[in-house]
Amino acid sequence: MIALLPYIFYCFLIGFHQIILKNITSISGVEINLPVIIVLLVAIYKDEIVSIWFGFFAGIVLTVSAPEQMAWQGLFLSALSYLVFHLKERMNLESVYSRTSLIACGVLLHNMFSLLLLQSDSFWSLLVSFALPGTVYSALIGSIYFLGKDGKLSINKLKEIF
Amino acid sequence: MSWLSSLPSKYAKNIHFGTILLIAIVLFGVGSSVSTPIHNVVYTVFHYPFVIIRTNIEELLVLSEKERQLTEILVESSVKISQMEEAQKENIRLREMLEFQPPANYSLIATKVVATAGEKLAILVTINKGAESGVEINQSVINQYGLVGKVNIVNSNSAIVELLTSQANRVAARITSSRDMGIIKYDFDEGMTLEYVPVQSKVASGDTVISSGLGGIYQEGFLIGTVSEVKRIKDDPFCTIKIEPIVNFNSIEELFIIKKTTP
Repeated sequence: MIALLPYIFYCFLIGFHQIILKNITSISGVEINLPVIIVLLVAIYKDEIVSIWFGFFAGIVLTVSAPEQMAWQGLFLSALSYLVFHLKERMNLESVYSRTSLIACGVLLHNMFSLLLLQSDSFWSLLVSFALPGTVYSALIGSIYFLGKDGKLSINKLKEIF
Repeated sequence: MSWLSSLPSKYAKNIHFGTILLIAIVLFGVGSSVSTPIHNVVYTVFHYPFVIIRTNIEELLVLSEKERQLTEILVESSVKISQMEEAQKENIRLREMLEFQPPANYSLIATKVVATAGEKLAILVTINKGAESGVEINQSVINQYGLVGKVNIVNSNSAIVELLTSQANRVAARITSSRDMGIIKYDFDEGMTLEYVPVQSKVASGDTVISSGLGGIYQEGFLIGTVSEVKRIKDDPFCTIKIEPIVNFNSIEELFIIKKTTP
């Protein structure tokens, strides 16, 4: 049970993002896809079984506002976690750039999948105006996380700059 | 048979993913009868607490904005109330002035004080009427209570009035009860005094003092003040009479200039 606590916390983080953080951090409608970032980070740093189940539950928590998409999102995020885990096994993810690229690709795939679920006529315009900028925004946040995790970005280093 | 026991560990990930796929298919198949309770549970656990927080924050922001608006309205209302109170006081003063009648052969030019000059007490005031309104030098200036001073300098649209508090301004005055005459003068230390009244005069505290008209500038009959103190010093042929002015020279706002209408 104690081992599940971090994942329960991540689910609460997803809920917090969906209700409060998403509107605060959005810039002209472009949002950070924090749930997918969390799912991909779990896929990168944890084992396979954990990541695919967490991806499934994260998809369910994510779609509270659209319950009809619950199964789709759960399945997609589970599959995404599965894919990322295997890519991680076969790729060199030492550098921040490679991990950021992985995050960017995962977010872009999820954004495109969400637009397909919407079945909107203006798929391409939404892709260009929201999905792609959202991917860049999310990748930026992901890169900041990786820089911090690797110790390349810290308060002391920022103080040295200034 | 050992391959059977090793099967789950070898294909563990596929079994797990297959389970997830099966659950998803069930959710697709049964529709809202299963997904709705799941949705409700997930919403209650992972979303509802944050919904409450967000609602409270939004209410707080709305209340804060309302408070700011109400404070602005309150400040504006306070300013308006002050202005209205001032207007009411001016209304009362002007009504009193309307009841005032000028002497025969004289008319009144109503003016407003726009500036004052003087250190401890105003001795000169600037009014908003001048030569174009018929103001001339040495015209008497009064308000609804009594004599205030005389016109000293005249411009086209303004004029300067020398008040009775100016040490250079002397008024020929008369005590109404005893009919004794004297000269009104003002000193910053002693205040307003009536001089050159003989010691044998029957003047007493409370007697009113008016302008006598004998000085050549001020007309007769304008109220100047009341006697507040009478001193008779040995070997002095004159009384020392202190006068309490009828006009409050610290708060004059509207004035009348006495203008002669007939030559």
